[in-house]
Amino acid sequence: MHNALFIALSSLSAFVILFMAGTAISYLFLFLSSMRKVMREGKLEKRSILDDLSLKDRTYPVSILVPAYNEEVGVISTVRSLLTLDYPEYEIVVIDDGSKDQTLAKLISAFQMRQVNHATRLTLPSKPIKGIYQSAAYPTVKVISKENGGKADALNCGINASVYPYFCAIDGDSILEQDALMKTMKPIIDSEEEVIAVGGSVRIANGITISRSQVEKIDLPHKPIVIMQIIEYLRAFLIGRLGFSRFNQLLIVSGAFGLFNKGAVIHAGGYTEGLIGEDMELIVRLHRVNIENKLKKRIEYIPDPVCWTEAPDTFSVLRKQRVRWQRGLAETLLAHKKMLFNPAYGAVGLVTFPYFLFVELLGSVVELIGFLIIIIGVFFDILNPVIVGTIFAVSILYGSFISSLAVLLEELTLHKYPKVRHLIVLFVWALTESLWYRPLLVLWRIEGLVNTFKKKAEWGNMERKGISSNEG
Amino acid sequence: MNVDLSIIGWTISILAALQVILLAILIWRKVRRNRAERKEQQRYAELLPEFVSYLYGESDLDVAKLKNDYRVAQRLASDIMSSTRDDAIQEKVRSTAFAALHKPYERALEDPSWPVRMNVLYYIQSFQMKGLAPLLQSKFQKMPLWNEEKKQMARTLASLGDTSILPAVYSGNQHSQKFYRDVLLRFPAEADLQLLAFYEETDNPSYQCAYLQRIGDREVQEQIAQVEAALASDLPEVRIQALKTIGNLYYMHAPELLRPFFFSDQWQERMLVAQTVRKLDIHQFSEELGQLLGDTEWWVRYAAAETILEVEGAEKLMYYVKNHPDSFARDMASQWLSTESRSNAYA
Repeated sequence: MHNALFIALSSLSAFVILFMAGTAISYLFLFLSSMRKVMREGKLEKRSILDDLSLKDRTYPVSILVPAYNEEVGVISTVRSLLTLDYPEYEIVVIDDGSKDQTLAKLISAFQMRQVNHATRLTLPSKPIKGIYQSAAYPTVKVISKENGGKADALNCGINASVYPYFCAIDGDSILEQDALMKTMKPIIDSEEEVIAVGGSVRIANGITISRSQVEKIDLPHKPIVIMQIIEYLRAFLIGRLGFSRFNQLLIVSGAFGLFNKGAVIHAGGYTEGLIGEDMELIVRLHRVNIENKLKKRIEYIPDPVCWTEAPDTFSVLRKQRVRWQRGLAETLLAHKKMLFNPAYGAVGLVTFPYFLFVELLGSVVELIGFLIIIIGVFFDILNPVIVGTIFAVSILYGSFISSLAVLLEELTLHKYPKVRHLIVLFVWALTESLWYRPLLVLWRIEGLVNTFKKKAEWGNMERKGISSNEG
Repeated sequence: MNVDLSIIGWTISILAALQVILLAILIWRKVRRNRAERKEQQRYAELLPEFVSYLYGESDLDVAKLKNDYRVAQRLASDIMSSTRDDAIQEKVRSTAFAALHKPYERALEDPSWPVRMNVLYYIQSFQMKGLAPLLQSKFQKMPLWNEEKKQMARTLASLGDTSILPAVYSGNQHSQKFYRDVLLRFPAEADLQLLAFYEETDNPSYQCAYLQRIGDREVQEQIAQVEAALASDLPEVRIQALKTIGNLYYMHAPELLRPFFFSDQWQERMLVAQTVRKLDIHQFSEELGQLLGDTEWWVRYAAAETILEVEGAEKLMYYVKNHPDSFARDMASQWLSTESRSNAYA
């Protein structure tokens, strides 16, 4: 009996070790494959390139869609920051998705909105519109008040009401850097519209100083839980997304900031309602449409354009967010399970989709097993200490090492955090990831997985504090 | 077992040591970069008043000061160029930039680093450094592949007025409309005759479209004859571009040439003719506009409603709100009556 248990645990341990080592190696591969391009393009003088882009009619006009639900705290700042964007032609469409707070009233008051008639095309289904308002002071700003239907529904409604061939979806509490839209449009222009969706970087705004709706000073927050999220975002964006984008295998463009070819999105059916991960699901569907119709389109991520957004600063809110994200991932993968290991979908079906399933979704289960093995090994002396030590070493590699590499990549490329102290703080905290932050994420991801099958629905109850002030 | 544990221990230690070394290197780089940026900023602040004073003829400038700090010189010139529209000042900035920067740029064009070469190409274009055109021409001819660098070189040479690149750029149909247009847009007015000669020789539709676009971008009304002739082209993309160009010129000799476009199979042409009528304030197409208001395409209805409002007035639009047989037309007319927005439909 004891032998059988030992053999079972040893086999499980071997699997965990191979899994985590393999995943860490894949991250290294993604890191190395994207590093050259990022470092090369990071040295280009952005200003002269952007000045060149802003020459007459080189850019495509964009509709910026801002779905808002109970965003009275941050939506005015968001719209004000959008009005300062350095971009030749764009409109701002805020979609108030039946907010129960003063979101609509505040927008009407702040921007001198008045109700107008609007011949909206019902290209994509969405809940009924209650009223459309246009700003008398800023004619390119309009607000759509509609019945509550969720974020996907709000975005579809925004797409229907938008007039331009490209739309940029951002969250109601996000701040875009002034040149973010121009930078995000560049791959589309350079590729002659072969690129149909572009994701930029989402950065944590907690700790930065915003003045007149613009980022004035970048600093780190004090709370470790927020610092860890900064590191996590660096890892996810600079290693994960950059690497996948390099091979046109990007399966997610963040809902907080993404630029899309409207025609391509409409052709794919718009956002799917009733799903939590509507942003990822749309991208997966765009890939499907591309492959099924043999279109040579691309979906890219570029690290330079930045959207700043508020991150949860308490464990309870972070937990809800991560549970929801994991649910969103699971729902998307389930919705497109036909693609899994399906050669008809090329590398997306054979490599990327399985990667997201086994690493991003089910990886938390493997990690949990690994943690339990370490605990069993330490306290019950059942396992060979070499095995326990190896699992511990691999989990450090998988967690802390990769994250600290992400911090270093940030420093090599964008170096948004100006001080030496910032680099050291991020690096040191990154090293602690495997000891506390990662185990928490694992538990929440598993909870999300369980909830997928229990189908608990929520829009997102993040407590907004606004990001136009220093975080203490 | 001890050996195995020590291997694990060594592995972790080596990884940790590598990271600490990497961190140390990056800290050192960051300290250096921050120091260099502060020094550059300080130097910039010192030289700026002197440079501005020189540009406005209030004092002389020792160009050697700029030559010693080529990055600062580049930044000064770039900032002044982007902040003034005064031709005389801009010309002075360009000549100073050439004096201070042509040697560093000659070296940079041979730099093994791709971003260094690309940055310099943008700056040569920005500062109109004609003295570097021969060097650029030579490099352009030698580059076998149409990569990003060669394309930027073509744009830069075009901005310097070098029409010798036309055959290389416009042979075959290997590039996109946007690239052709990018290159053509950059040629100065002195190159117009040569560009026209090439237009009359070529049957490359991309060049034709790019050339027509250039006429519109530069608002050269004297070339309206070429544009109106293009309205009769067999190629829809050329006709569409001709319509856009007429819209940009706000002028044409013979508005009657627009009539067939109201009945075109291509919705873009129907939309553009409505926009063109609005821009040129033509009053002879009232009935046709009323029909376009009920078009199957949203964009066409949108453009028609906007045109009716501007050319014929709100009363006409109100008439359509009440009387147009098509419900979508009535909706669109109602929208335009209620909003003050004049956002243009993208073509």
